[in-house]
Amino acid sequence: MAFSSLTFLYCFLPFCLLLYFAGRSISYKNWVLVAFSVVFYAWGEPVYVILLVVSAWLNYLLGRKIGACGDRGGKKWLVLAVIINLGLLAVFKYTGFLVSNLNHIAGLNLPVPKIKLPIGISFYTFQAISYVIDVYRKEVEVQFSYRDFLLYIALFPKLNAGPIARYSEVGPQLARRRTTSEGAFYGATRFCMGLGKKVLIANYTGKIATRLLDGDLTSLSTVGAWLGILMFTFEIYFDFSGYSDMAIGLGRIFGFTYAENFNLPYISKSITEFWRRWHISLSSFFRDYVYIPLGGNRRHQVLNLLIVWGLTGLWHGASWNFVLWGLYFFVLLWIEKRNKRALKRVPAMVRHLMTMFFVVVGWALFYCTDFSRLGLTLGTMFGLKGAGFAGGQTGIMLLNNLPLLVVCIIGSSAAPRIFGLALGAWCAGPQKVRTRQIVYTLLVFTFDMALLLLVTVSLIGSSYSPFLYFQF
Amino acid sequence: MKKLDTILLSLMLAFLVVLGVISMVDKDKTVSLVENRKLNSRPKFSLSTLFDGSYIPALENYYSDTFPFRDNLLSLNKELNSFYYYSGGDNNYLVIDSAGGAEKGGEALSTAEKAAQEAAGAETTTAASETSAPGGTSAAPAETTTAAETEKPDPEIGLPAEGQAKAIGTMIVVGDNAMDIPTATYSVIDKYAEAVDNLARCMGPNVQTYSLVTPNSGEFYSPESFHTGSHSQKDMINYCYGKMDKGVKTVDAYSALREHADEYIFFRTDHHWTALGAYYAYTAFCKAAGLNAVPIDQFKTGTYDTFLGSMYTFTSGYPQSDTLKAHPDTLTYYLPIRETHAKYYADTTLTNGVAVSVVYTKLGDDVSNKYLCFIGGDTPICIINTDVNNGKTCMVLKESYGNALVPFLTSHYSKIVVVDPREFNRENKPSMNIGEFGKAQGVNDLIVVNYPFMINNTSYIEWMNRMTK
Repeated sequence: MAFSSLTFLYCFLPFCLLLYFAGRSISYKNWVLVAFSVVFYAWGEPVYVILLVVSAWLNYLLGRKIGACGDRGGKKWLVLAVIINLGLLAVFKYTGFLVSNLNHIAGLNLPVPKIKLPIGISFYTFQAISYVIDVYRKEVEVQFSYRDFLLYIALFPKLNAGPIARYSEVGPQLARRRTTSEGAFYGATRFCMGLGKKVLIANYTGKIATRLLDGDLTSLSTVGAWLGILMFTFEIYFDFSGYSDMAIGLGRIFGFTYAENFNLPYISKSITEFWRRWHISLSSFFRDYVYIPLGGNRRHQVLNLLIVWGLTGLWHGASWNFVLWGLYFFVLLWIEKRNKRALKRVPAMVRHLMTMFFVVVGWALFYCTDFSRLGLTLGTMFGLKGAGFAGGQTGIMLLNNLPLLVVCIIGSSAAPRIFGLALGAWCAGPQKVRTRQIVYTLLVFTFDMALLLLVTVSLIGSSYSPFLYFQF
Repeated sequence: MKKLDTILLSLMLAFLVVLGVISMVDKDKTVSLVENRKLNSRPKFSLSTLFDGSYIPALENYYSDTFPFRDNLLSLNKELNSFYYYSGGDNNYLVIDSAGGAEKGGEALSTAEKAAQEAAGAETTTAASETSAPGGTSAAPAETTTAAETEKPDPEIGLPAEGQAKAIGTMIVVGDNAMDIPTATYSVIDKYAEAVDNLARCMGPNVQTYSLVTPNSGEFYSPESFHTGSHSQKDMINYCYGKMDKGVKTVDAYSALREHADEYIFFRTDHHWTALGAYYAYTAFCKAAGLNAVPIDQFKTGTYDTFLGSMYTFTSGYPQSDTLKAHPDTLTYYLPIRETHAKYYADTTLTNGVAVSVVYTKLGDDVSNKYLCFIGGDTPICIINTDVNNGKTCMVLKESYGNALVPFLTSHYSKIVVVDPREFNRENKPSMNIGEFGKAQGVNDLIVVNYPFMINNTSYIEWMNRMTK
């Protein structure tokens, strides 16, 4: 089920909330959440829901095994757990990719199986891996309740698209958490904002990107190609960070606190900074479970970075362009590391523009899974291919999307946060003036409701499909 | 403050719950007057549809189709679209996907054609009843429903080969002119030319085959980049004609239309040509066939004012369509000079024919698609007998573009057999072999009339080919 659907907003969510807050005991609340999470997943994956439940069960058992071994012998169970998790990922995400590459390299002609990717498998598998490793490292307690462990793996706010929550962070909250009215109010606002980012921005920028980049590339102009990639740049940010906002917001309503996953990545002044602000839970996963165990920056750092970035790329999809995209960042990061001092002398504005240039070009690598189309897209962006600099089509599309583009640029800058904080500070007032606080709360509430209404309008609008001349 | 937070949160939750409850218990509408269509009904639950992944999406479609206050929300969405599809000052520009269907693959006919066709069955019946059996229209809606259901994208026909660019149709509005922009896929055009050759072969050596591929309005009135490069209809047509056998006579409708591009030859709110546009194509046909075209001033004419066509409907969710609405089209028709008697039939058995007019002069306000005045729209087979005494018969194989051309042909043939290839040799549709049917009808000339979307449409080409088997 998607957050950005009418069935979620008007059927699933309100009834989940009603039931959740109808009882008091944590056990009851966890049962409600587990049940709703399983339904949530089964809604989109009526078959693969079994995979989710079984995968969680195996990790739950192995976690207990590792914990029971104490200081000795836990390693074999850990290895088994990691093999199972990576194995599931390999089978369900990479089989087609592996087989077609094998065919290519060895000149074989094996049939390439078409396995549909189970929603969220990359996220929940990584959560499971982090759990078993942390149990082995004795960084977290073993979870003895399967229900609560399943809740950790499958909690619906973050099931589809993360953040990749660590057990060390969520574990204690499974048994003990409290929803405060301030927390829930913040959570609701955060949820509405995420929803708005997804439905009111990402859905539209995505449509434009598809229009421009999925069509006939030979008739695409240079400005058109940049507009397309820029629209995708905004789509992926507002979509992905919107999902994280919704997850964090819903989590807060249920009393869970998740770490931030995005921190205004498009204001970065270097690639290093960008990766500290983009999909934080993924970068930190690779840092803690791959980079540092490999030796980090103490031993063969270049090799370690190469592996981490190759894997980061591959995690995003079973296609070589994602690997290329990961390695592209490896190269950029390496160059940045070697030229730290020289880069410091460059004016901040220039560094920001440079960073965004490389990030946007990176999204072109990310977008085009087909290498011939990637070549055409990049060629068009840099004026080597395509249909000239600009054309009538680009002109009209640019005009049509001008207001949206402005909203995207402002929306991904620090401006909204600064404004929000300033308004909050003003409303808090020097002596905690009560009326100002009330005004603030009412303003935020109005904003939330307006977003909810606009989202509903837009979702209904997307189902608008006029037919011609139908007679009754 | 805590209290206020709790109150407001409760209000928000109450809003969701109330709307949620209303959405579940309210009476579902079955048709949308705003969208001119049947709304999705609640899908039947079964384990097989659940597990094959078709049940839940159907349920979601049903839910959003029957959401409370849907019509109000839709009109709000049009307002919202003035933000997302900004037009800029006094200009009125819009670029959108052609209904977005193409992206998902499995496209059968262009949506414009499909929808027009869906309606055609019913409207012809209604229209026909004006001349044949007044008041006997009660069966029509049922017919429409079945027609609509069988018109779903044909699953037998494969998608374009992988690696090919996804076909994304483009619709643009410039001022008060809305245009549908075709994109060439030359490998498909090859297949179209081949299909016409196949048809010609199937008809046998005694039948002369003509191919008439007409441009649409996008070629003449769109900004340059919409009719150049892969959008150049001139290139598509020339290429297509170049690929055909020498035995097929090609009709240069393009030049005839280009010459008169400053006249009212295409509708601004509909994707068809006007009768005047069809007339110029007819003169080009006469040239190719060695006939003397009837001068335009010899026809009696009449008009339908305020015609808002398919392009208006497709853009009606966007504020730019207001300009179209404020400037509707006028449809001028030219009446056949000869006496004509026409009937349409469901299949080649030619039983239960229903009388139709070659040109309807009295369509009521209830028929919004005035273009249906030409032979009553798209029917499987329409046979027109005239009082021309030359004993010659022509067959017109066409989509809806052909409809406006047919009335002009009545001056030159004793009999005209109009066939729509989309109506045959598919699931739930009758079969036809065009060679056999042509022989039975004594056809001398075959005229294949299409506009550029069709020569790029693999499904349509497949249906043409199936007529030869």
